[in-house]
Amino acid sequence: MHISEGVLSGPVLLSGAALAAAGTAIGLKKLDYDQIAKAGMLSGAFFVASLIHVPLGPMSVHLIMNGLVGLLLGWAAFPAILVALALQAVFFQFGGITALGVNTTLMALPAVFCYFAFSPLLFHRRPLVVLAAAFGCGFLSVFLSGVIASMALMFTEENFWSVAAMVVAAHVPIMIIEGIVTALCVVFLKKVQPSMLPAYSRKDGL
Amino acid sequence: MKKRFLRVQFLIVVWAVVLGVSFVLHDNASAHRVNIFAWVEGDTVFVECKYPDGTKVHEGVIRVRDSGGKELLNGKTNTKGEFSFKVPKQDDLTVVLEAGMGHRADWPLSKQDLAPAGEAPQAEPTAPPQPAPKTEATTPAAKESAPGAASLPPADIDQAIEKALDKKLAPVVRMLAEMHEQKVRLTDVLGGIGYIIGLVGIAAYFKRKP
Repeated sequence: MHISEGVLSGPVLLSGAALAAAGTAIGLKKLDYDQIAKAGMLSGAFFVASLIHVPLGPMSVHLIMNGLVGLLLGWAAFPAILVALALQAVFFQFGGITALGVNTTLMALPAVFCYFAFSPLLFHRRPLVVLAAAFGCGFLSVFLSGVIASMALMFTEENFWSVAAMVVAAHVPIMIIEGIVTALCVVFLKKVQPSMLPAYSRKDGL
Repeated sequence: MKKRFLRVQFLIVVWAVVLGVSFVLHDNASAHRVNIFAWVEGDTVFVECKYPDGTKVHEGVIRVRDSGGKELLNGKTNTKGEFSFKVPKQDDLTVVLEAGMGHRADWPLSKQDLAPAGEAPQAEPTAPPQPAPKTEATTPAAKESAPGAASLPPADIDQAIEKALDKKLAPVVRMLAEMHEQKVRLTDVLGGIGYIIGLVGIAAYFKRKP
């Protein structure tokens, strides 16, 4: 999912960087003291998740985990993902420094979207709804990242639908796996450390 | 009862993490970069392709291009990520690896690298000055040792030396190939996590409540 250096055109890189900067600014503003440790942990998890490969036939893809990061952090996912991507670029040469803005946007924007879409459902009365929301969060975040990546590539490849189909199709297994992993994490956190989940304070209201 | 259930879940999570890490270490995995290394032995070029985690690229497409960009031959790597071909042309070649999903790497092979022992085009310009010192050196030696060695033409000796060197250097070249590729190393992973912990500290400092 990381877009490499030298693939995208200047305007795409710049607009990606601008979006990432705006998101990071909002994220840092919304990040309060109690959330810092959580953001750091999730940033670390995101940093390492890319090393976990899932082999499937001749192709294999790696975990992304932006859904879980977004679900637990909200806007703070932007700085967390930016830091992790910068370190991945420096240490593993995944992506690249010039493509950092675009990569941050394409992974963090779906994460924030999933936070607003799914976090209200995490303390729903029916466990099945909770499971579905967590699965959907992991699934949809990867899907939307694929769509944004295709949009970024559209300006160089000039064929949105074929690129989008290829990127999304290659990531279908990852979407399913991330959905399952996110669901497991949510169920686990609800039992062990429910205060880590968003909307915990709203629990009584529901 | 509930506590035991949690412990079981915790074990499942640990198991999943261990499983994930073992995927990284063992399986035929792809990443964001591919490494290619090519070297010449005699008249054959050997190519080795790996992902940064050390797994081999199998079924990766190899294309060999000449200096004009014309494709001379292509093929696929085997399950060990290897590919070999006879030198098709004395030219500056580029070996390109395409491993799918935008993964691409290339390795240049210059004319000098390709020159096989004895019959290289470069051998001709260097040949004239060679015989003079060679004969001086071999004639005194020939008198003391076997006279048969002196009867060999210098070109044959050159070829034999080249062949022997190729053979002896092959493991060294292969070792260089392994050093050349950039694997994801544990130190990098731990270093990155260290950076994140440090950044958490900085953020906590600036966001602290007065």
